[in-house]
Amino acid sequence: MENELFQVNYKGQNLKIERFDVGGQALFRISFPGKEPILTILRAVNFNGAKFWVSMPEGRQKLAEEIGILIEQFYRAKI
Amino acid sequence: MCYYNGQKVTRSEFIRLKNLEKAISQYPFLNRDLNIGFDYGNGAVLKKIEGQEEFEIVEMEWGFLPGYIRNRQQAEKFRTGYKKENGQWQQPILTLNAMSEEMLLHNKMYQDAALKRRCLVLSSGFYEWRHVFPVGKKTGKPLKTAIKYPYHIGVKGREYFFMAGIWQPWKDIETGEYVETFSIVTTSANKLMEQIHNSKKRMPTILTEGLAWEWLFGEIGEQRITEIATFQFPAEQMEACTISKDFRNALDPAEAFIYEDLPPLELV
Repeated sequence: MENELFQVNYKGQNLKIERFDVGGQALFRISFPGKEPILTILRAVNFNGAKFWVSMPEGRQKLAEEIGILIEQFYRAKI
Repeated sequence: MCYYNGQKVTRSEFIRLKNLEKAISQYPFLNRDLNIGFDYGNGAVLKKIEGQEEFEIVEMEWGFLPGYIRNRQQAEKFRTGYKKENGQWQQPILTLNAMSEEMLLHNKMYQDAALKRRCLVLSSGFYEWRHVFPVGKKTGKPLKTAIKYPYHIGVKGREYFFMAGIWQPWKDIETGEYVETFSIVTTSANKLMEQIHNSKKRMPTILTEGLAWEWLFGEIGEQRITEIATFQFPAEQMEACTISKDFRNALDPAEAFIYEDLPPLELV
């Protein structure tokens, strides 16, 4: 099966997103039109049991959270 | 209590995330056995995060493009050559590799990158051709045309290892396309590589973990840069095997293939 490809608009830029699954976990690989390097994000579970977005590898948390919300919106709109 | 990206997570979630991190390090662009340089494909590169002793793994385009190349059309000409207005053929400028002994010379396009933008190229092994000149049956002398045998070369016991690289940001001024391009630093061949890459006697600068760290994060001057760039990885820690001549089309390009007529390499 091919990985799902879609786009979201982030601060006026169209980001290309590829979804792929590793070990039953959905990961999203994000390509930016400008200088920003490729980012991989996924949903993790925090200490209180709530889900949150993280970058993998660590270090780009803010971006992960901001774009993660857009990915959630994309999936909600599909339903 | 554990933290991932500054977020409080349970120990089991932390372990899960770390394992996942390991798994995706092989996906998707790391999971490529074969990167043929002349395809100018992308490669997995470790790039320093500015101001930190941290790196990120990014995809870069193999084949250093200097800033004076203004668009893809010029890049194509730069890499493949072209006919000039006066009818003369302009040879291509090959930038897949940067010679360690020369890259810091003032007239070299690599100088600035070697000083400021060093990176590590992740490799699971590389490919080189050994040239063997068969003896002519009539003359008893070596023929002029060599038979070429491909080899897959790696580091013993290591799934991945680091090669010294330098990188250059590049932008197509017409389309706005931005890519980071890189070149693999090369050094003179060690005893093993002298026998395999016997036409040029060169090899990529493979680094030990200590040197890799210094190459990426060290505040080092020209002399040390050259010392590391010319480092010759010990032959006895490397391994090599012959592979099919059609390896580019093979499912597993690194699969061993035996040539009955090929003289063995001398042990190092």
